[in-house]
Amino acid sequence: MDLDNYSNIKSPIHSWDARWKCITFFGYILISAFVNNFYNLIVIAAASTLLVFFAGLPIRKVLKSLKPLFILLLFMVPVISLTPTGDAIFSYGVIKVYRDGLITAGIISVRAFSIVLATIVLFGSTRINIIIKALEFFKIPPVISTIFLFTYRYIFLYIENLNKLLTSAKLRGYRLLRGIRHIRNTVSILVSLLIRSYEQSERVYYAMRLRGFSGSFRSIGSFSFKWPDIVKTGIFVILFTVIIWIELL
Amino acid sequence: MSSQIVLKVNKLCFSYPDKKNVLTDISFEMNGGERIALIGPNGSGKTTLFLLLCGILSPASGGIAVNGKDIKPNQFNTDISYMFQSPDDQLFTATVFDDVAFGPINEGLPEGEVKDRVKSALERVKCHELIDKSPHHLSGGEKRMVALATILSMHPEIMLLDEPTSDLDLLNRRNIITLFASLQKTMIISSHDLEFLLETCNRALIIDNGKIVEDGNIVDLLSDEGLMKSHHMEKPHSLYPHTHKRAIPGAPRDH
Repeated sequence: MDLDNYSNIKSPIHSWDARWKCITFFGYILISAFVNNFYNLIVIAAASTLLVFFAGLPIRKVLKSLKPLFILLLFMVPVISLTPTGDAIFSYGVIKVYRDGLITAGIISVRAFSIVLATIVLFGSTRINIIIKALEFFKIPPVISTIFLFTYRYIFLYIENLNKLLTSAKLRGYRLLRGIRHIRNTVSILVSLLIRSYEQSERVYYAMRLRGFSGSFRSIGSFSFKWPDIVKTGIFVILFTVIIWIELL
Repeated sequence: MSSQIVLKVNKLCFSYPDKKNVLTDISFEMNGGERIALIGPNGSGKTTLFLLLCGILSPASGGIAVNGKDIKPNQFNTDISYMFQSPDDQLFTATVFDDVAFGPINEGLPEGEVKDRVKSALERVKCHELIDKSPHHLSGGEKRMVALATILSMHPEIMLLDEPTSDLDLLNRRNIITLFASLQKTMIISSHDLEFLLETCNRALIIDNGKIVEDGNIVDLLSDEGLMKSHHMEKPHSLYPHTHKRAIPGAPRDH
């Protein structure tokens, strides 16, 4: 969540022109999502890990950001491995672990790990406003970039508001997921958050209009493309070519 | 203070669809450089008046003119700026720089001037070191000061400030008082912090039930205990003959 605090440090990834970094990372994420070959899986896992090191992001923060993925995989891997597909390679009573399920779980885990790690590096090495500006350079509709910006700006505030509401309710005896009365209270809390968000969105719109907003965010400054950007993008293009070639073999 | 009238509000009336007569027959004039304290109990119509003055809401009847020009609702007007009660409403972009630059960019100013204005506004509120930070990483006080910078960067002639000292610690509150004293701006400030208003403003408008009930020198109005009580407010402690708490009605006694 706090990765944008590290967007000002100096590293080869940070200094990469945001337009080319975005397009390279999007390409990398897309290719990683379709990798099946064992060697390619090792390559994308290693490449993503190397990106973290080159970006100089604190390992502890990166691991903290990976926590939701690990929790998800912790539930998903056993489910897929125990789903009957092909030969069982291990059994204990009625529980059977299937070879194909285990392979599928492994592939999904490595892909997810590589993709999430690359996303962390992208957002940890580029300020969100620069990413939005880069998206606009690629003619992403202003509505999408504005939604992206507001999600980033206000998600923290709504999480904070939700926590405040939950704390306030808990202090008066509310317990999550315990009985019908508490379900009703949970709905009330969520509705209250929704109404507050709606009212705030109206005030934010007023504030934008008062400062001249006319439908799209305008910004100053321009991107500068230097030769190291060509080298960095080139390395990834070679990597993409090799991965696709191995996949097609 | 210039004797030229910069703001003229004439018989302004407003109703919300679900609430009639929120403001009735509001009229007042303001000279250049004047500081007006807009005071009144909760729900008296202060924020609605601000939203009308800056052109966000359209009046049911009456008019508002800044420097002789009518304020037209929904038109971008750089002469008058409004700072919202909550800084989270005011700070909506990804970085402090973008937020402070938002108004000047939309005014169509050249890049160099936008940067100069951002730098100068942030220096005035002593927040220049926050320029690259995201608003959600700021403390309540920092957000308030940056929100102030977002309107200072637009160089408005009239500033409308809704509760500018809420969220501020005593040091930042003092910084705001010093800053306001140094600004050559016409201001209308709404606040429940009457001591702050006494230090900042020279005139007060008391608004209650959508009507201006008193308009005059701030010390004279706020000293009138009967008047303050009749509008659900309290005479500021500093206006009692001496500020020892025994002189203040209802204050706890020393044991």
